[in-house]
Amino acid sequence: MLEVITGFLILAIAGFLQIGFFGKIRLMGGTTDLIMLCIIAWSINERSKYSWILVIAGGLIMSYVSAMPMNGYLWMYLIIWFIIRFIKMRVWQMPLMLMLFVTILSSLLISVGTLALLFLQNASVNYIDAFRQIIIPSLVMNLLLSIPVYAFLNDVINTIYLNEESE
Amino acid sequence: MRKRLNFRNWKKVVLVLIVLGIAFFALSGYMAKAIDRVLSPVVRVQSTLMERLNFIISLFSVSEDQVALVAENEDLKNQVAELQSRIIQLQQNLNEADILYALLGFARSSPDEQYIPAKVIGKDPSPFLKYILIDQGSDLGIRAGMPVVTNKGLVGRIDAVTASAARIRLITDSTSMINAIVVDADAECMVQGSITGDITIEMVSQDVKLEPGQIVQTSGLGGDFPADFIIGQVLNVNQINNEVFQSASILPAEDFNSLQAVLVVSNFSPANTAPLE
Repeated sequence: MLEVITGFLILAIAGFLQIGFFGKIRLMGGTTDLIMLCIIAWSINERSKYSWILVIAGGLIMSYVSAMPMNGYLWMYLIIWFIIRFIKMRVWQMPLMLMLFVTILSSLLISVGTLALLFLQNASVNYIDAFRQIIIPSLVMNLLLSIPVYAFLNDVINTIYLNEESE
Repeated sequence: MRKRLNFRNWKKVVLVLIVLGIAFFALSGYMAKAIDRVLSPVVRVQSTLMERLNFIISLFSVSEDQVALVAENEDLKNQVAELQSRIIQLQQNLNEADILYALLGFARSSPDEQYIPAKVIGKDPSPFLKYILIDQGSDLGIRAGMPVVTNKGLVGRIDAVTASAARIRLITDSTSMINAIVVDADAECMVQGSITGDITIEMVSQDVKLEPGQIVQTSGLGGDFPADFIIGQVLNVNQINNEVFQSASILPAEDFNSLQAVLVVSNFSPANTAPLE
């Protein structure tokens, strides 16, 4: 229960930071997706039990704030969560490497998903410009922020479960 | 009587007379040089000794002045920090006041329109979407579809509303299409946003002579926006002879990256053209 409450708090703070602060920090046209990084870091941790609840909460926060059509963020975050579950259980068990790998994969997945949704809406999309000015810079920014986010949330989750075990 | 004036008494009388005499000479100034000569080496020794002593004392103790100076310095540092934070606050207020004065001036210059001022509180988290969030919503009468402007020009239109906030689709968004007119060339066109935030005018007839610097503003066609709001000016013309239309990139009138406050045009309702489509 403490995990869920703490997770909600962290996601709420991340949401405010994403809209206010990180939305303004741009590398060319790219920005970082703090909620996505929080969800990845939370889901990767072996001790976390309720990461799926936080994935849904993060998806709903982003769907509420963003103009992304068809609640795109919610579905894409759920896909990322399933990918993490699959990779963590069967392929890869080194958390930091997994964090970096999933960050790259998720950034590309969200970019491709968004472009597909915009294509369905008949938006004016220049794919080469999108790749050069948004997708690659966003990927770089996500990678830069992924390690501090992982370190922070890993400590938070470990602290929560150490406290519960000691009680 | 004889007993009283004995030798011992005479000695006392002589001693008193000598002392009185010395005092008389000293007071009348005749012995100043002699006194100086006697006292000056003593004074010199004394002052030297006191200097050394004071120096040694100052090594081991802090004078009251120094304590007061340290306290005063601390106070001044606190005052400087407080004043600096106040200066920053005042600069922010001044900046906000400048923006609000500009918006107020614009609102007064066009009294036919009714405006609701709002502060920009955030941006869409997706880098592909050009939307902003404002701090006013349906409680103040803001409805979806209302145009949003600043004193510089058109910003976009209301996309979604809650009771206390609203989301604006900027004219730079890739799904934004606005009917416009190039004023100097008297040519109708479509202003289209893009995924990178650049805007262009499309569908301009090849006969029209487009030149950099020409003003582009809303035409009012389609009923989505009121007429005569400035969008920007022509930057680069892209004319290819074999194509049906020419296009041009536009320099927006407003800098969307540093947008802080906007005006929602509240007495304009977009025309509902759905039954005609």
